[in-house]
Amino acid sequence: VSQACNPGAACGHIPSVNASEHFEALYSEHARAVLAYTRRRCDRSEAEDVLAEVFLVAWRRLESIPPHDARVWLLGVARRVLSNKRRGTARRAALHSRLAESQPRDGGVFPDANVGDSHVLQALASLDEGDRELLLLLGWEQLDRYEAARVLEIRPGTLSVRLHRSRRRFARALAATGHPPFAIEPTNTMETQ
Amino acid sequence: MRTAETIALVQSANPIPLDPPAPPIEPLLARLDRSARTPESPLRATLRTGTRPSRIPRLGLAVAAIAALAIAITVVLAGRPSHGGPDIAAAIARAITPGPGVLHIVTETENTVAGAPARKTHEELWSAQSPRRLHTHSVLNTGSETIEDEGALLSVSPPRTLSWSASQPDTITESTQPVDATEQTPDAWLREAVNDHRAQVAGQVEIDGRHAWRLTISRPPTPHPQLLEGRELPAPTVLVDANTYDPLESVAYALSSTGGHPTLETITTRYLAYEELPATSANEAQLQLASHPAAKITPEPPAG
Repeated sequence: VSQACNPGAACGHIPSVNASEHFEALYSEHARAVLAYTRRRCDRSEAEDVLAEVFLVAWRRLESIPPHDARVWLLGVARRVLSNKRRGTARRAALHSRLAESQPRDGGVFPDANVGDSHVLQALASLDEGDRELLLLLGWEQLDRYEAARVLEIRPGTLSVRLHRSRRRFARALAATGHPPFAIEPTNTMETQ
Repeated sequence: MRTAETIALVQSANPIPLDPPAPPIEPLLARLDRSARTPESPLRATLRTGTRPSRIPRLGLAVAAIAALAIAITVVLAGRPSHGGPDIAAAIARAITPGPGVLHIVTETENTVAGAPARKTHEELWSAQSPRRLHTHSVLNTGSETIEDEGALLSVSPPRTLSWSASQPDTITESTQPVDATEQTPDAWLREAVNDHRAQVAGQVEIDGRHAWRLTISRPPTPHPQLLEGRELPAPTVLVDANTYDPLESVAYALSSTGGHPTLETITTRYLAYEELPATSANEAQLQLASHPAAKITPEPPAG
């Protein structure tokens, strides 16, 4: 029976060719960014597992992915998949050690990678997950605050308030690592980048 | 320090400043094809993961091999007797068709991939029909960590499931997401396979002192054949008790991914118990989630 169905429906139908092409194009365009997101937060093998899970979710919900905002949508899924994974495991500790490392575990794959500032990584590792994720979305994923808000499923105004707090905590944490001190300027919590 | 400076400082510490190359899509397509053909029941996904019903086969976590088995082999038993013996398929069908009691299954499953430690899952499951209910308890050992999950389907209509994980012992997650009412026990694939009459009896063997029929399973054609280095995956095999026809062991194969490269995953499931218990109140009680006095029931959080 040839009957149209949602490619993610639990009907067991093989999805249409168009859906498959759409999915492959989505993967081709965004898999690298999603993998970069996951590899910045966990080790390589887990990152690839998460990547696969993200795109399996994408397959299920292909029709609900906003065409002009797919990357942000996928990163939001990646965040939730990682969050679910961490619930029951010691991966939070692994993440901390991952962040605190001065270079990627599989260093050599990116020999020209900027290995970063260990003080900054230590400071990030010491933050709670909400503060850290916000700063990483802006700094590592280079999202704007509206995109980051969508990934975090919060309103932009809420994000601005959180960002203000996160910056202050990050500054304190950074100072605690021995990083040269710097001033924390008072800012308007609705400051825009 | 203003926001832009803070973000620039964070950015300077990015350990992966360049987007890495993504793994090839083919293993993912193979998984999608398998899940489209024989989806993991949303219920089972719920019970295993404690998250919303999903068709996601979980690579790293609770791919309890029974589910992986169901996904991987898409089996159908070609049950015609191949050498004039008894109709093995019909006998198996009778043996594994649920009755009015409480079906109790205990399995041990080992997922192995070359070069990686085996993942072992011990699962105990109780299920009943009319109305359909299910309770599973599984312990996955990855070699580096142990993940214990428990779940119960209390009602298909309206849908209600509860799940608990040792990782969050204080929380029981309640879901009212629709569940798949058609596939809820690990032997469902076998029942479906028997009904489709596609298996070959490959002889008798002995396992743990018991005589068993050995069956090889043929795959149905798929638009995306599961290929490893250009060849289709090996055919799964199933052992059933030669006297009772209860399942004893199955060996299935799946296309997995290691470092982005397709690899062969072998899934061996041994049935330690397969029995139908009478529908007594004590046995019916096994269909409930175990008591977790310290746990609070909370609605399922939103997810992908």
